Amino acid sequence: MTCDEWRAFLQDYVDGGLSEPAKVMIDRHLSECAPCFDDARAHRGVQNWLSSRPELEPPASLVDRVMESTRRPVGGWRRELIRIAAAAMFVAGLAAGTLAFVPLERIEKPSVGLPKPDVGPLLRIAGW
Amino acid sequence: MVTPEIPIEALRRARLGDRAAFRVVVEALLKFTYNLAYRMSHHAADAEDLTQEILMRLFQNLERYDPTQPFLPWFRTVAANCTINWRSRRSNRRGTSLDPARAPGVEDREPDTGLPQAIADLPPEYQVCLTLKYLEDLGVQEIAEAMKVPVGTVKTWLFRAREILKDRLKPPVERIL
Repeated sequence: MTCDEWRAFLQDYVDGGLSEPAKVMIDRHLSECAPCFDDARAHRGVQNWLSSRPELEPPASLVDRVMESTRRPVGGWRRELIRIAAAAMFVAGLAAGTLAFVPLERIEKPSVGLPKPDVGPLLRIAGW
Repeated sequence: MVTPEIPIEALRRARLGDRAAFRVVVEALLKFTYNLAYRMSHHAADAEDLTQEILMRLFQNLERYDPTQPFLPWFRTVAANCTINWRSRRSNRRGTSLDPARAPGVEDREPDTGLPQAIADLPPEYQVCLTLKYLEDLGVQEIAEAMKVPVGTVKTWLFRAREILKDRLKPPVERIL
């Protein structure tokens, strides 16, 4: 076995996922090759450290915190307000656009002018 | 290993919007999620923030979960994506993965092997890989499914992650041995 071949098997070797014959072959290479032996030892050291991390207990209050956070809108209230404002502006823009394209003729106008009020009697009463 | 037991009935009701049921699901997932988060942040307060973010993301996405499929692999994917995004945002904000102001002398820091900092400096994908492997003892196939990448990619990431750690931490590792 060459050093490159050994490195191809390193992951499975360190994980203990090799068949017995393959493991024997690699053990033989490691016993003859100091750099690969050091490499294997270092990988296993990292692996042991990572595996030996203790499990931690989360604070009990974290459940309440999570539940509280699920009450908030996605992205927070500020984003929600921006979303509402954007929606309102969109609707207003849509309405304005629609009005702009309505032909003037369709806006109903009185066909005749409104009758002028007869203010003569009032003026006479007022002394004009 | 902290692989959680998932209360199926609560999960079913939570998908339909039952908040009390969702609370049961959160309680079942809390320890697993917190440990995952702690291994990504190595700081209690950050781990709480990340836990909250992952479980909130679960709440937002729960209706997309297909109940005919196992829940935990799906949740791992949600957690992995959320964690990678969280780490990337922090890295962009601070330039480094751990807050330098917090690194020395904080009471909840791990013993000074240098490994937490070295792990925190790894790319987020490598970190998630390592965490899933050593927190849950998952195989590369399961990690690949959780992270939606090929098995070969997971093997490469795990290998490179350990290479980086062993090169940066030769003295502490040799002390452990």
